[in-house]
Formats: sequence, C-alpha cells, structure tokens
Amino acid sequence: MNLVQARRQSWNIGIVVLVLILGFWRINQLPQFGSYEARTFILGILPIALLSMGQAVIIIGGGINLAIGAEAVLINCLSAKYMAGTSFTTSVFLAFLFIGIGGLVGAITGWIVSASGIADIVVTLATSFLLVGVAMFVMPQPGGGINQGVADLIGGKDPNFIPPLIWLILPLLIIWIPLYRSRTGIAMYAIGSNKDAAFLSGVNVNRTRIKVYAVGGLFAGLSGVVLTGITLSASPFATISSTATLNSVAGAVLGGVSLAGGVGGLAGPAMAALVLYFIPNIMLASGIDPAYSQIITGALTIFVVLVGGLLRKRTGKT
Amino acid sequence: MKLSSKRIKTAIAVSATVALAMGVSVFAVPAQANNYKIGVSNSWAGNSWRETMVCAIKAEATLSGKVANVTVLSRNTDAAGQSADIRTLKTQGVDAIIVNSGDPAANNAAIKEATDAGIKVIAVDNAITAPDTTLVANDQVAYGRVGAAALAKAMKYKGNVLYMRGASGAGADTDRDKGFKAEMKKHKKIKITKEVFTNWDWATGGTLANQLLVPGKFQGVWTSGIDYNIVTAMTTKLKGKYIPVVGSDNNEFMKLTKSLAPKGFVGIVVPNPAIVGGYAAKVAIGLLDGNTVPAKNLLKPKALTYAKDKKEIDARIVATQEATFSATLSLPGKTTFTPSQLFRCKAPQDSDDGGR
Repeated sequence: MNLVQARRQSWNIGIVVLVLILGFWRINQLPQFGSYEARTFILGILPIALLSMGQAVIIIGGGINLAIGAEAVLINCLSAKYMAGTSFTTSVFLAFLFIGIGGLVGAITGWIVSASGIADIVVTLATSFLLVGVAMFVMPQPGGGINQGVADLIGGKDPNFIPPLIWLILPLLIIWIPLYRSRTGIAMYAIGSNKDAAFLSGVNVNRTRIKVYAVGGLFAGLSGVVLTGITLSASPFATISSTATLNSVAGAVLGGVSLAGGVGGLAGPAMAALVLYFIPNIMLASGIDPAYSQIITGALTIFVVLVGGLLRKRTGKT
Repeated sequence: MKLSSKRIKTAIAVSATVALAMGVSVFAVPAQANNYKIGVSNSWAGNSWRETMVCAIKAEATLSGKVANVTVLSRNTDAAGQSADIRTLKTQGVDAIIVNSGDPAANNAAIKEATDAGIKVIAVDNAITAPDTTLVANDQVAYGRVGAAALAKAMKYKGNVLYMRGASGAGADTDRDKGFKAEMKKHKKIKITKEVFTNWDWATGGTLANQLLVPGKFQGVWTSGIDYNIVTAMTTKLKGKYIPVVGSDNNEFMKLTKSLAPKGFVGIVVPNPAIVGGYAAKVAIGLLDGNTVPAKNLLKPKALTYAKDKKEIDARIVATQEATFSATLSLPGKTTFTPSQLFRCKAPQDSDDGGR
C-alpha cells in the first residue's frame, strides 16, 4: 500500500512538473500575462477538465463511460434551451436541476451496465449514440442561451478569473473529497481493483457501480452547464461528443488514473486537462500545424499507459 | 593591387545602386505608418476552401503594405476551443480579428470582450450574431435562390430533386436553405423528395450519392458545394444518363461541367469564392484606417452554365490546382492579389522565400 501511494505521489509530482514547464513555455509566448490570460486558460480547460474528472471516477471504479461526452452535450443542449431568456433565479435553479439530471442519466447508464452484465464499453457506446440523438431532438441546431448574470458567475466577467477557477476546484472539494472518504469511496477503489474480491468482502458491487456512474454523470452535467455558461449556447453535434469523450479518457489516463481500475485520483486529471490545452496552443503559436499536436498527445498517452503498466508489474499489483 | 578608374567608377555606381535599393526598402516601411496586426480564427482546418481563404487574407494583407503581422489560429475545434483562440488573439494584441465561426452564437462572449477592447471583428463566410461586428461573405440566401432557379429551369420546371445540404446549424447552410426553399416554392411541379446533409464532407457526399442515385428517381440534384463526386457517381449509378446538378466553383466540378456537356450533362456553377477572405482583409484594413464600412458586405452570386457562360467557366478552371480548389482567382475591386501571390500564401511577417 505504501509503495502504491508513493507511486501515486510521484505521478502527481510528475504531472505538476509537466504542467509547470508547458505553462511557463506558453506564458512566454504571450506578450503579457495577467488575469485575462489566466481566465482564457481556465475557460479553455474547464469543460474538458470536469469531464476528465467524471471519467476518472468511473475508471477508478473499474468501468469506462464512452457516453460521457454525449451526456455533457445533452445537458449543454437542455440547459441552453430552457435557460434562454430566463431570470437569474430560474437559471440558477435550472442549472442545479440539469446537473442533477446529468447524475440521473449517469446512474441509469450504471444500472444498465450492472443489470445487463454486458461490457460497459458496449453499453456506453450504444447510449452515446442514443444521448446525442436525444440532444438533437431537444435542439435540432445550435442556439439557446442563459441568463447573463449566471453566465458571469460561471465564466467570470472579463477579466475576472476567480469564478471559473472556483468551478474547477469546488467539485473536487464538495463531490470528490467526501466521496473519497466515504464507505462508497473505499468500495469504489475496491471494485475497481478486484471486483470478485470486493464482492467476497461484502461490497455491494452493483450498487457501488451505479453510484460511481452517477457521480461521473454529475461531472458530465456540470461540464454541460459550464459549457452553456461559457459559450452562451449549445451545439448538438456528435463530433463534439466523441472528441470530448476521447479527451476525457486521455485526461484521466494522463492524470495518473490506471485504465485497469482502482488507481488514481481527480487532481491529476484536472491538471492533465491543462497539458491537453497547452500542447496545441504552444504549437499553434510556434507556427506548427496543430494537427500534429494530436500525435504528441497520443504518444504521451501511450507512454503513460506503458509506464503505468510497467510500474504495476514491478510493484506486483495485478 | 591597382584598380583602373573605370573599375572604381563601376564599383561606386554598383554600391550606390545597392545602397539606394536598400535605402528604398528600409525607408519604405516607416513611410507607411500603419503597422496593423490582424488575427485570424478559423474553426475548420485541413479543408481546401478554408486554406485558400486563409491564404487570401495573408496575400491581401501583405499587398496592402499596412499590415505588419497576420496571426492565424486555424484548427479543427469546437466552440469552447474557438472562443479560447479568439481570446488568445486579443492577448496577442491584434487590432482586428477575422473569424470564420463554426457556430453563429457560441463565440459571442469572447467576441464581445474583443470588441469592447476596441478590436475590430470581421466575420467571414459564416455570419455571427454578435453586435458591433462586420460581415464579409457570399450572399448565401441568394446562393440558394439562384441555384434553385437555374436547376428548376434545367429540369424544365418538373420532377424530383435530391437536396444535398451542408451541415445542420451552420449559418451558411441555414441561409442557403432559406433561399433554396423560397425559390422552389414557386415551382409547383418540382418536389424535394430527399433531403440529406453531407456535412460538407466529400466522403459522406460520395457515399450518399452512391446510395441514393437510382435511375428515374430524381430529375435534378442540388448540392451545397460537395459536387463533382456526385457527378462521377452518376457515370456508374445512372449509367451515364446525367441529370442536372447544382455545384460550386470547385475546379473539378467545372471541368466536368465542360467535359460532360457534349453528353448532355447540365452542371450549374454557383460560385462561393474562398478568396472572400481577401475581401475580408481589405474590409478589416479599411475599418482600421477609420473608414466607414457597411455592417454587411455581401458578394452576389450568379448561376453559370456551360451553354450560357462557356467563356467564364473555361477561364475559371485552374489546371495546376487540385480538384476541390475554389476556382475564383480575383474579385474585381475587392481583392488585389494575382493568382501567383495567392498561391504563395505569404503573410507580411514571412520571409520572402514564399512562406512555408
């Protein structure tokens, strides 16, 4: 256990160093760096960071959710459709309602995975198409809106970077830490590490899995509402959902979450989102075609998975 | 070593000429006091049309002599990504931003921050809803209308139409649809029996054509610019019995319009020039000069057929460029570059070896 924890700490230090190097590089490319630029960074990563955190929770619990991007797109469309032209209070109420619906959609996905016994990759791939279809039904083409006051609370009034930063950190404090410390949290790591052993130790595997998917859904709902707050609109496109899903997996893996389950936390994925943001932007500013940044991101992800696998072999964890 | 006076004279003359030439090139820059910085945000890269659009911006900015720098942020990205790019351009200290937006409203927050800071924002190609911005684009409603009118005529005002749109939700697609449907409403015997979206993707368009084209089912096809591979699909699927197709000023489509004309093919070319980017650059510079510019600057497209406009279509085809090249090389009064200057794709800050 000590070895595992030490490894996780070294991983977190590694990702912090990477973020610092890339961040320093990026800031050096800019003519100035102030709160406006800090806000640009945070707004650039916020939706994907939240989604990576949601994916991380599910992967830690031994699953994977390929519909997480679609969940965010659906909540994005729902919130932009119904928050358009509403008062401040109504928009706030609806924001919480739709984040809750995100959690509900996640819970239902988890229930289908548990009840059907079909691999989560298959189930969530199917639900991803379904959810994008519903999103297109809700909002056939881009549009919608949100109360400007609520949008300012999410994206921050130019150049205030504190509100988006709070939206990045608060979910860690009020969702992740209580979960991590709870019985469900322990059960989550247990079923992620070894489902059968967890079951034999008296963990209710199915119920834990539904909870894990529900928490993932909450993060997806948050990501969708935040996207509405940042872009003041929604787009129901399947490409957005698939790109977001793949980025969420990349973010989780880069952030030190093992795809085998049971290993990792949520601070890593939040920082990994910064890495995913800095790479294309640094290349764009250096005059390199940002299409190549996908090669770098991909190579980095493979490298991380390889190193993670090797370390697991070394420490004898199966 | 002894130098003859003739040699010395020659040397002096040469160095004087060189000095003069250098002097001219050195002093030419400060003579134009305007060192504008222009930023470009493009949400869809790796597409021939958009690449040409960006090159047209660079070429026009370079030729104006008033622009010091063109920063291009061009990549495939969603609304959050493009908003971040627009904010980055603001940080780079640009004076004007030319944006081809993937979404008519989603970048409004970022655009407002730019216009509030006094940056001129010019929407090119796709209209946006943000206030205090200037639009430079093809008149897409007219694009839909004139193509529909020419198609109706080619179909002798009766029959079924395969309607192949662009991408749902894109500003240009919505506008073209408006014009197309309004025109087709006038022709009672024409029915739009199939409506599909190609997402402006060549592979999708080709696949759809192969699935949908059946002899006798359609009497005409309208495309939103994914055109020439629909025509080639007819060679096999309709056994060469070509039905009229509305396409754009794509190189290969115009070539087919020409080469298949003897076989009875009616290709209707409605230009959608990618070099509208150059016009946007000109408008941007005009705004920075303090000129009054209308909020909407639209190109008026007209429909060309080989029977009627043989000369113009022949003149447009560019043998050296690829199939999907948007073959309009100048907009008189709106762009000033020559074709070779456009193909060099040189921004003002690039070295003289022709950019990349």
